[in-house]
Amino acid sequence: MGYQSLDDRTLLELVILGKEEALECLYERHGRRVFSLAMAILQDRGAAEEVTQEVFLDIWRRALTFVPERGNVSAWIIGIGHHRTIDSLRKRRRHRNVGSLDETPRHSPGGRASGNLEEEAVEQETGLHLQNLLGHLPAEQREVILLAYFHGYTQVEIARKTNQPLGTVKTRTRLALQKLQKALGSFEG
Amino acid sequence: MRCEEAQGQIPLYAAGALDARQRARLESHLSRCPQCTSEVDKALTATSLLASELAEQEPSMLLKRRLLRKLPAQPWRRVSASQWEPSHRWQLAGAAVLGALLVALLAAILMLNARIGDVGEQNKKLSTLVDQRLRALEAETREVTSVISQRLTAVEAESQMLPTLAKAQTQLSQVVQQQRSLVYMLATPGVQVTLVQGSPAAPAAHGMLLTPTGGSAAFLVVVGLERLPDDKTYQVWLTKDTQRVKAGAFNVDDTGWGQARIEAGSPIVWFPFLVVTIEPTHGPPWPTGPRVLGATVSPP
Repeated sequence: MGYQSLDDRTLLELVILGKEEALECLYERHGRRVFSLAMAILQDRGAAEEVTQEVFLDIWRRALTFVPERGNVSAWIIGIGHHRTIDSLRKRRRHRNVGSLDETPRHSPGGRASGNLEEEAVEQETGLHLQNLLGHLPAEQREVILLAYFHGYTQVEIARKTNQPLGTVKTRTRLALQKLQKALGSFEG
Repeated sequence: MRCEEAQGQIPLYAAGALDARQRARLESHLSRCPQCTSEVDKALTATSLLASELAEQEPSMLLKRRLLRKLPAQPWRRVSASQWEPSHRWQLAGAAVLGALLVALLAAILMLNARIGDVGEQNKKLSTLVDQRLRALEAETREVTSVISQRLTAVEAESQMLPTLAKAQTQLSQVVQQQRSLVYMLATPGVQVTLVQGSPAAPAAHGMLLTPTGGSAAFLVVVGLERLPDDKTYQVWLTKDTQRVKAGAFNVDDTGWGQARIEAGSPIVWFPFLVVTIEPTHGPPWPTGPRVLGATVSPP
């Protein structure tokens, strides 16, 4: 049987049954994406590879927790990858005692935030598509997404960093997500 | 955690803005709540768009090999036969033959147990998969049942219209029949045409009475009357002295056009006057309602 011809859900079911070839196939499909995200956030090839490996080991261990009705295996994998990556970033920050709330993020993939973030964003080697996508968000929502998704800051940290109430951060995140969902709809439609 | 709280945290979860403790709490809730899980999937699908728009980078060729080498036994397949092989077999080699046999026997029993455990775990896994498939099948069945139910409702609605359509067909047949009579009458030589005039109650109404010479049947065509409700009718009377004969009834369409075949049982011209009044549909054998049309059929 050619694993390449199988869809993601079937591959995941074969992973549950212990088929290494199925995991290999999922890695070939999604590994680059997970690695690229980790690289964009961590800016460290070794750390990004370590995260990518951990993500697929996690899939191997947690495949049983994926419910077939959920649908989007790719988003599930990217979600695991993203959480693993920001965990790594936060751990590195704690270790080096950097990334305090007063520190400006070192990089800002694809985004145009306000103030220093904007200047740094322009310097990043990121996809034009992402810049276009984030460009649809109002500046304050874009800033929250950049700080959370690409810089790994928690809602509390973002609130302190932007001098905004926690409720405002939550609202901006929710609104930004809604806009992304709308953008997703227009991509798929 | 309740769903309300979880729903508020889902965007933060997808954006990565929860700390480890908050994330663990939400994931614990998600493991028990399909509804919130579905919301998380939508949110993750949206944020995965951010990742998919990044410039792609290639990991090391060796990463895949390292990953596959590191794959542990999955938690539900953890028990494998190789784990149960005695690691100190070499040390046992020198032991007494009886002891070796005992160890081998013990190892065989353990291996068998491990196999049984393995099979049991596999069965659990398979039954989980079967359960998931059954749930999906149930969902599909519910969907198909819903579609069938909608179709049945539509068919029922259509069937309720059948009596109305049948009534309309009957009315149409009557109109066609009357039109045939009218055409036949118009084609008869020596047809007498009498003008029918509206009364003060219906000044815009007028019409014609077509009477074949010596015939006991005639045809009345009128215009300019108002359409009556179903429980009323325009009643045609032929009168002579104090005699009033019910000679036909009709209603008009929305344009005010109406027609009726008039029959008296005697030659029409025997009656000097024709009168049309508004009566109940099954009214008494004498006029009770207002007069709307009248004509002199033959001078008295």
